[in-house]
Amino acid sequence: MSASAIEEAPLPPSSGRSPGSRAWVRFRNNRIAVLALVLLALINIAAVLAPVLSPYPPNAVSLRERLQPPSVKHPLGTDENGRDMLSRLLYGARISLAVGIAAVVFAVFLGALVGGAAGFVEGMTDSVLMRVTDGMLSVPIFFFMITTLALFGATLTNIILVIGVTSWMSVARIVRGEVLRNREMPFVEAARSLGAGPFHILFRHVLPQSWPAIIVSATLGIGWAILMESSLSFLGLGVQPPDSSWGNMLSKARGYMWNAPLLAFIPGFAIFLTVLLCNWLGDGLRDALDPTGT
Amino acid sequence: MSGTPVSSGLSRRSLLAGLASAPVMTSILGGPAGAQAPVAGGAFTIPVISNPALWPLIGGVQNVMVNRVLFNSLTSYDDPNQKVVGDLAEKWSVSEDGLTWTFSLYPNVTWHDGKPFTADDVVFTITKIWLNPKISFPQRSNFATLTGAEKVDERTVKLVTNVPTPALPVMLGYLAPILPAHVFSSWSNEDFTRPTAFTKSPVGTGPFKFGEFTPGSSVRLVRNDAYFRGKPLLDALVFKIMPDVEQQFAQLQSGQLDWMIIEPYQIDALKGNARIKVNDVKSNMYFYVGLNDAMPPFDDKRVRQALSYAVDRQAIIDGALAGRADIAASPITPVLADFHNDKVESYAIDLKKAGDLLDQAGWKVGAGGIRAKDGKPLKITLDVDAGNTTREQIALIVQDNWKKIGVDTTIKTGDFGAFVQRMRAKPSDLQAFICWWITAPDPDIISYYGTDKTLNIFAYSNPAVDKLLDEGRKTIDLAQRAKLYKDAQVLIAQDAPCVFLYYAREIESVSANLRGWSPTLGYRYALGQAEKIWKAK
Amino acid sequence: MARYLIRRTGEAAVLILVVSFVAFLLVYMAPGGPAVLLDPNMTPEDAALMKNLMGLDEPFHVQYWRWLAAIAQGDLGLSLSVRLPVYDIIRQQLPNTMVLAAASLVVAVTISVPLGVIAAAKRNSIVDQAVALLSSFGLAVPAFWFGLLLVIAFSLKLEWLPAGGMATDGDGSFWDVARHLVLPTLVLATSNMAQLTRHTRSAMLTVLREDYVRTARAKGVSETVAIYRHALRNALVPVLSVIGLLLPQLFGGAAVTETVFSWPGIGQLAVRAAFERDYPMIMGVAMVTSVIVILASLMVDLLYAWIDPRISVAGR
Repeated sequence: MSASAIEEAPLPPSSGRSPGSRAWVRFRNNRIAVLALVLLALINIAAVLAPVLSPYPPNAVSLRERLQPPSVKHPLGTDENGRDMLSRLLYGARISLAVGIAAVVFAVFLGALVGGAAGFVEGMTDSVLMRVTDGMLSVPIFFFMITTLALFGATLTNIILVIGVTSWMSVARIVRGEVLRNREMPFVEAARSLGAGPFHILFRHVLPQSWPAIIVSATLGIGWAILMESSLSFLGLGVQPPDSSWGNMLSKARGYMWNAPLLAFIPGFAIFLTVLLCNWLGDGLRDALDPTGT
Repeated sequence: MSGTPVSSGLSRRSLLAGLASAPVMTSILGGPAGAQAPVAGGAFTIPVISNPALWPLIGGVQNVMVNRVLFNSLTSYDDPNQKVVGDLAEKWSVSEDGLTWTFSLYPNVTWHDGKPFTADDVVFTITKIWLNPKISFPQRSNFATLTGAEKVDERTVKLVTNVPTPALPVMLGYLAPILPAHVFSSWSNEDFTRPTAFTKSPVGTGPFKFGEFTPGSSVRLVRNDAYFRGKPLLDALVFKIMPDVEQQFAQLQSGQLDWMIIEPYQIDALKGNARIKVNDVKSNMYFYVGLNDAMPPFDDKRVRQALSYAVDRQAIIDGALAGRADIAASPITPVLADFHNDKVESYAIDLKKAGDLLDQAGWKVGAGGIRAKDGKPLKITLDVDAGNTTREQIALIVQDNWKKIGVDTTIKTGDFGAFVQRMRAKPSDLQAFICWWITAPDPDIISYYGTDKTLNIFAYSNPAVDKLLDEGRKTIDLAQRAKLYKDAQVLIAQDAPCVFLYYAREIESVSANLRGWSPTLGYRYALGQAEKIWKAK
Repeated sequence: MARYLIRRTGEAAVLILVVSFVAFLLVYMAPGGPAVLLDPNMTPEDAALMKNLMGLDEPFHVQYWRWLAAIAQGDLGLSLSVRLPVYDIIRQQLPNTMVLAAASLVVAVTISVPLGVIAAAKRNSIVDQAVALLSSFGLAVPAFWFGLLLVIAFSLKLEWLPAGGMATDGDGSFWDVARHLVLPTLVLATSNMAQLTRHTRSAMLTVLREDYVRTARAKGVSETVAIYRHALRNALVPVLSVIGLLLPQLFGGAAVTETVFSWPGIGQLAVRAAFERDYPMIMGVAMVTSVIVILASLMVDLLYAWIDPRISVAGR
C-alpha cells in the first residue's frame, strides 16, 4: 500500500563546491517539479486560508439544497446535507494535509532517533535497530494499522501516530548512513571533543547534512500519508465526521456515486492531485540532489 | 428485556445492516397472490456483512438471519403487526393464576438429522441452556421470570413462571431457538464455549438445512424436504458475505442479489430499475435523541421538553429518511396496535414554547445567541455512532434545530462498540446521543424506563411510571394491560426522558420476481417462513 | 552462504516472535472487549461469565504463553464471532488472497519490467516521460475509488464483468473465477505496478552505467543486445528484492481491495475481525500473514544471495 515504504533517496557523498546552488539550478530547470512546488504551495495556502476563502461554514446544513450541481452560489455544488462542497473541500484540505504533515514530522523524528542511535552506537544496538527497521518493512503492517485503529479508536491523534509509526524506516536508513559517513569527520570530532553529547551532535551536526535526503523522503511520505488516510477512511477508520478530510468525504460520497458522481469526483481528484504533486516534487528534488541519477 | 440497538452491536457497517433490517411487502411482489402458480427451484440470495456463526446462542444481525432459517422457536410472529403465532408450538394456554403455561407441539417435526423433535428438546433447551447460568445466552434477561419447564407428554410441555408473565409467548419467539437435545445432551458447560462440532454442521428443524459454508464467500442452506410445514419451494437460500454496502448495492442492481436493506439515500438510484422493488416495513423500532436525565442541565424536565419542542421531526423524516418514517412521541410503537397511545404530548415543533421553557429554567439568551445560566453557556455534546450516513444527517439537523433556541451543540462520532459501553455505564458520561431501540413485539418496556433498570440508559425515573410498568408486565388481561401501558406512555411523554424522533421503517429492496415474501413482516421474521418463498420466471 | 542462511533464518524466527508479541499486546491493551460482549441485552453477569470462559480475565503472561503454546501446536484458537477454529477459516480464505496477490504480482511484473526497461533504454524520451507519468498516476490514485469507478464502468454500465465476489453461485469454473478476478487484480496491481516500473527503470540505469555494459558497447555489441542481454539480467537482481518488499504491501492492499470487491480473502477477514474485535481471529490473521510474508522475504533474500554471492559477504 505504500509508496514511501520502499522509496529510498540515496545520495552520493556531497562533492565539492556549493552543491546546494547547483541542485537549485537543476531543480529550476525541471518544469514538472517547479509546477508541483507552486501548486502544492497554493494548495497549502488555500488550506491555511480556508476560513477566509470558504463561502460558507463547512458544516452549515441546508437540507433544501441537497446534492446541488455547481452554481454561482455553490461553485462546486453541495453534498448530501446541503453543505457547500467548496467550503468542505478547503476545510478538508486542512485536515488531510495536517494528517499528512504531522504523520511525516513524527516519522522523521522517530527515524532520526532510530537512525541516529544505530549510527552512533555501533555493534549490537545498530544491528538490532536495523533489524527492526527491516522487520517493519517485511510484515503486512497495514493489518496492524487497521487493528490498532479499530481497537483503540480512530481519533485524529491515533491516525497520525499510526501512520507515523509505520513510515519512519526510510528516514532511519538515511540518517544512519549520514551518521556513519560523518562520524569521523573533523567537525564531528571537534564537537565531540568540546563535550557535545550524541543528541547534540545528531541534531546539530548530522541531521543538517541529511536534510536534502530527508526532505525528499518526507515529500513522498506526505503524499503517502494522505493516501493512507483515505484508505483508512474507506474502511471507516479514518478521520471521523463531522470533521471533513478528503478521505472521509470521498468515502461517504461513494454512496452517491449513482446519482451525484461529482461528490466523489471532487475529493477523489483532490487526493489524487495532491499525492501526484507530492510525488512529482519529491522526484524533482531527488533528481536535483542526485544528478547521477536513478 | 429484549432490546437491542441493532441487534448486533458489531460494527458500523453491521449496524447499518441492522438498522435497516426489515423486509416487507407482503407479497407485494405477487400482486394479488395466486395469480400465478408457485414455481419450485432456484435460490434466494441475500447479503450478510461478515461470516455468520451457525450458532444460535449469540446475537449479531448476520447470525440472526441465518439461524432464523435453520432453527425454529416455540412461537414466531406474523402479519399483521407482528402478532404472536405458533412456530413449533401449535397452541398454548395459561393457568388461572397466570403462572403455568402449557404448550402443545406440532407433530411430525424432525431434526435435520432425521431424529424426531419432541417435548424433550424443549425441556432440554430451557432447563439446560436458558436457565443454566454457566452457559452464555444473550436473551436470558427475557426469561427472568421463567423458573422451569417440564414434559407432560411427547407433544406437551409446561412452562412455569414465578409471576404472571403475559409477555412469555412473545419472548419465546424472540431469538430463542429450540436446540436438539440428542446432540447436546452429552455436552459439558465448557463444550458450549467451543461448539465447533455443532457449528461445522448445525442441526435444526428449519425449512432449510445446512449445505455449505465457504468462509468469506457464502453460506448455502439447502431445502429441507421433510419440513413439517411442507416442502420448501426454493432449492437453496444463499447468504453472501459482503462487507461493503456499496458492493452489495452494485450486486443488487446487477441482479446478483435478490434482497437487501438499503438506506434512504439509496432509493433514488433504484428509480427506473425494473428488476427491483422497494418496500418499507414498519418495524417495532424507534429512534431518539437520548438525554442523560441525571446530569445537568437535562435533570431539569423543562430543558428536556424545550429540546423536544425544538426538533423538527418532519424535516428529519423528509430530509434524511426520504419520507419513510413516522413521527414518534412515545416508546411503544404503532406496530403494537393494542398498546400504542397516539394521544400523548407530541412536542410538535414550537420554538417559542421551547424558548419560554428554557427561560423558565434559568437559561437566558447570552452572548452570540447562546443561552447561559450562572455564567455557564448551554453547550451539549451530541454523540452518534460513526459511519451511518442517515444518523450523521440526523445529528446535523438536530444540531441546527437546537441552535435556533440558543443551544450550542457539538457532534461527536465514534465507534459503535465504545458508544454502547458508554451508554451502559452507570453513571454514563454521555450527555445527548442518537440511538434506537428495536424490541420484541411486546409492550413491556420496564427495562428501558423503569428506575435503575439495566437498559435505562436515560437514567429516567418516575415512580408512577415504575408502578404502571410493573403492573403491566404482570397483567394477563389484554384490555387492562393495554390501559396500563397507555397511561404510562402519557406520563413518559410528559417527562420527555429523551427526544422521541421517529418510528422507523426498514427499507428493503427486493427483486421483482420474488414471491411468498411478506412485504410487511420484516426480514427477521419473514426468513422464518422461508419455505413459502419462490421466484417467478 | 551457509552462515548467511542460518543468520537470516534466525532473524526471521525472531521477527516472527516479535510480531506475535506485538499482535498480542495490541489486543491485550485494547479498551473494551470483544464485540460479543457488547450486546446490550446481555446481563453484566453473563458478560463476565463469557469473559471468564474465554480466558480474558487472566494476567497477560498467562494468556500470552497459553496462546503461544497453542500456536506452536498449530492451534490458533476459536473465532469469537464465527465459533469455528480460526485455523479453518484462514485455511479456506488464505488461498483466495494468494490467488489475487499472485495474479496482481504477475500482472505487475509482466507490465512493469518491460515498461521500466524501455523507459531506461530510452531515457528522457517521450516514452520515458509517458511511463513516468503513468506510474505517478498509479501511485496517486486511491485504490477504493479506482475500484468503484471500474465497477461502475465495467460491471454496471458495460456489464462485461461481475461487480464482485469470486464466483457465480453454482458456477466456479476457471473462466468464471478468472472473470471475477480481473477488476480486483487490476486495482491491487496498480500501485505495485507503478513502484515496480520505477525501480526497474532505476536499476536498469544503474547497470547501464556499469563498466561491463560500456565494455560491451565499446566492443561493438549492438545497443539492443547490450541492454537486453547484459543489463537486464543484472538489473533483475535488484528488481527481485523490490518484489520481496512489495509482498507485505500486497497483503495490506488486499484489505481494501477485497473489501471493495467482496473477494473472500484474508484481507477482508482481517478488516471484519478488527471491527468485530474477534481477538483470536485478529491475532491469527496477523500471525499467518506475517509468517508468510516473512518467509517469502527470506526466500527472496536467499535467492538474491544465491544469484549475487557478494551479498552474503557484504551483509545486506
